[in-house]
Amino acid sequence: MSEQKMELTRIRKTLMREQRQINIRKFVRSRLSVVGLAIVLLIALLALFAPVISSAMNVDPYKATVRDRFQPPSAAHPFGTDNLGRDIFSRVLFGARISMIVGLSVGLVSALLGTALGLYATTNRYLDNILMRLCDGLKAIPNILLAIALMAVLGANMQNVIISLTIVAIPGVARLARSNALLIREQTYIEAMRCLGAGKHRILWRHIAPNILSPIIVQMTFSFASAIISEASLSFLGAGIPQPEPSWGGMLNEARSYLFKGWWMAVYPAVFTGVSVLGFNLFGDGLRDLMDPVSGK
Amino acid sequence: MGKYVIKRLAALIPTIFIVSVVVFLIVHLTPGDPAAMMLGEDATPADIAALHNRLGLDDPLIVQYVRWAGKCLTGDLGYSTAVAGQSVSGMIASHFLPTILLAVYSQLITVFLALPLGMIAARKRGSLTDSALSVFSMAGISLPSFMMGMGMVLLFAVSFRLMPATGYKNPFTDGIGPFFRYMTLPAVSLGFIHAAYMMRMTKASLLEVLSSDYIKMARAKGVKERKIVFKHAFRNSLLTVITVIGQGFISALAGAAVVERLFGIPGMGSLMVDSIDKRDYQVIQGITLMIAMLNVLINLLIDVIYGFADPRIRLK
Amino acid sequence: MDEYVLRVENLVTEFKTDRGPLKAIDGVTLQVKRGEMLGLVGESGCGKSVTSMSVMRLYDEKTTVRYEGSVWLGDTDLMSIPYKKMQDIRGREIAMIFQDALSSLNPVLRVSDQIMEPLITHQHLKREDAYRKAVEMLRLVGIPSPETRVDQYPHELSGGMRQRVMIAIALCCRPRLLIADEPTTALDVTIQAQILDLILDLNRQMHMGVILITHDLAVVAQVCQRVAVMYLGQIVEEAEVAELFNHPLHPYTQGLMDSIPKLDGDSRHRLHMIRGTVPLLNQIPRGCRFAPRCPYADAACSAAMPELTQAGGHLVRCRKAGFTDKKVTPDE
Repeated sequence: MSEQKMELTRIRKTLMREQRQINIRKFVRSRLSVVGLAIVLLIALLALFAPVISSAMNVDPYKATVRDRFQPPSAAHPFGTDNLGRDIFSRVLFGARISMIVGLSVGLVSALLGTALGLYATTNRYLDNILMRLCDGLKAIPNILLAIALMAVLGANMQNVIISLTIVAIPGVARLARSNALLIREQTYIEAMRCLGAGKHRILWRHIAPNILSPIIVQMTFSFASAIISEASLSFLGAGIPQPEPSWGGMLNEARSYLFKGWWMAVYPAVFTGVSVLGFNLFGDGLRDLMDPVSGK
Repeated sequence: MGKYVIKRLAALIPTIFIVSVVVFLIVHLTPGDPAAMMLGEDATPADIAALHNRLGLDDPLIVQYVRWAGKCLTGDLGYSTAVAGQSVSGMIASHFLPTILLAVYSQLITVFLALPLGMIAARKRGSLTDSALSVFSMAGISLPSFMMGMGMVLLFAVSFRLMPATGYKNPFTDGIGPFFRYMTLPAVSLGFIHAAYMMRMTKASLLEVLSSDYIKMARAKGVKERKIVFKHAFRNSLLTVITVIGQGFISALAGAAVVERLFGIPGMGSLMVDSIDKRDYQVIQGITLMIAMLNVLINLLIDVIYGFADPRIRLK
Repeated sequence: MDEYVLRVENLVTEFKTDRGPLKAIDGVTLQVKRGEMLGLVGESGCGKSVTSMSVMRLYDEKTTVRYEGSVWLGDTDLMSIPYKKMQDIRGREIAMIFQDALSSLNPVLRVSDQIMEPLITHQHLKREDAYRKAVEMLRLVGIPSPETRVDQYPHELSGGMRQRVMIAIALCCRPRLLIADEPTTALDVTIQAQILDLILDLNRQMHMGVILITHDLAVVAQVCQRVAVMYLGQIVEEAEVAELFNHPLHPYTQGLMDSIPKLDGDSRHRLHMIRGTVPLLNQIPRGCRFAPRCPYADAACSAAMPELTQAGGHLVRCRKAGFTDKKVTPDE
């Protein structure tokens, strides 16, 4: 009898523990996407108000002062100064601008062009074949390598970074748009629209496009994140945003030579890159769970 | 099985063709005169014309492609425009070893780290360990390799002075010990992001397999839990894992540029970055083509392994 | 009591969900005698499969489920032995076959491996002996040229053969009890009959108890000796097959019987439908669970849950079983 009682208490205890764990997990998961959104918004705000904040703190991202070289973090220079005596805090803020502009442009343009390609591929078999084979060819070249090759040919500047990374991102979006559009097209209401005499373009953009929007938007947040990483990698390799523009990757490239002398030169841009990418990934994960509960974990 | 492999090989030909066209177009469809760009601003029109002539840039694009592709087939990737007399294939060959060793080493670390952790996360689904691991992998996916590398250099080379910050040792001439001392930090930085990804995929596919009917059936037969995971479930989720390993190897080869630059390793990535500075398009084209082809071959290899692991594919 | 292979007493299976615990079955009680075939019938979602999975303790007890009650296999209570011990019971004492043989057989393992596995695990046979036994089992379940079939993969077999393979796996250790969960639902009608005959045959040869889970009353009428009817996670009626089919006592059973189309029936008469739909598990009525759909129910029915009681050779869970004995046609 007492043994049974013990068994029951044991079961009850495990049950309680497990219930608690389930709640923690749900809490953490929904919280994480909120945290992601908060990070994204924070970085965006910092980028937007970079000039205001810098002038308020009386620091300049471009001004080199020989006397102030390799200053550790202090009140005047919260993140310290670099090998040319430039203020790292303001450079990180202005770097956020570059990352945001690149990420946003690549995300938006690749989503738009990729969707258009994917949609029109569904209208014509030959076009479909050519476009999709081309996408296969592009996908066979690993992303970062393709970006490096394109940058090498185009020349290093911000506009070309955006162009290269957009070309890298388009095949993924186009495939996604195409496969979803094919699914939607099979549904009867599109058939009905066609019978009513709606034009090809009208059907594509007014009726199919809105229905494939949610996977495209989710994909866009991930393109955004990977564009930030790629831009930083390109700039780190000296094939991205040229000096003296304060991009995070470029700053890390400079810091590389002075790791023993000034760790702060590396740490701050690195932390900002990592945190903003984490933010976008968390946000994107949450968005995916929200928009498509099936493919979520 | 032989028939299956031959079929796969035949399917490879159009893919290789398309990839080569894409690689060719990257260099040849860009605005501006490549010869002028290669030679820089103080080149005379005569120099440019000579280079045009030498590279055959005045011919129609198709002729240029056919000539280039024909040479590529014989292993001739052209000549460097920056270093006189150097063949691209020779340059690639001399930079190949460090990169391939780095990629293999980083993949080994990845597999040994990610597979067990992914399996643990799947077995202990919903536990605190699982939550901790998924947060860990999320953070890992967001860490670009150069950040990971710098962090580790700061930690292990600068703070603790355990390992050298930069440099490369050839395991065949310098010995295996120095090789590991120099290459462990680069390999971990290169593999970490992929380890995080692989852990996620292992967990996801194992969970999917564990909830399948044949696992229920195996349990109903009285098969021991350990055997269920290793014999019944793991073999089925192996297919996903193999794909992820293949992808990881390719992205390690491609991503090596960043890590090689950070750690001063004289591999293909370093060669590529140097070539950007020197506008040496032939080298860039050659490396891109080679890695793309390796990618295609690895995908073939994955298909063949699929055929071995899954009788349904083989016998179709 | 010895003649009972299995006695399930007040079995409760409660799933842990995000919205709190959910009782999928609530107080199931049933017995299976040696050599007997018991039919377990009910609409989909009534808890038939949950009952069978629970008897085997196949749900993950750490994360998804909680059991109450007892399951006596001979004189061991399966619910109170450690989970690890269950591995020795499964496949050896109790075996199970599932509805979908294609997804229930491991696609990457040969048929031989899958039949040999329980033999090696439970009977500690050597590989070659187990292999010989596997071929023998395939012959027993009526697979032509078993020597070649044994080396094939599941996807190379036809649907009926796969089902036979699954039966071979289940029976290779000569279990005392076989649970067959909708074993013929996924098959063609002709193959269905063959598989049923096979199960019936083996049931007689090996003298094991069988629980046949199905929603097909015709199947039950053909092969079972006794029937238990489930509704919303409870047994509502249990009796000998002929008795239950001829004199159903519970209004739900009556409804089920009336909804079978009859060839000799009056074709002008419409097929009977039980009014309403099965409520969701989280909206279970308080008193008798069938009351909201029952044509005879009154206030007392909705107030308290009736017990499963003896009435005229049946076990029935209905206050009004006595009144409804004479199949009153409800007002339509």
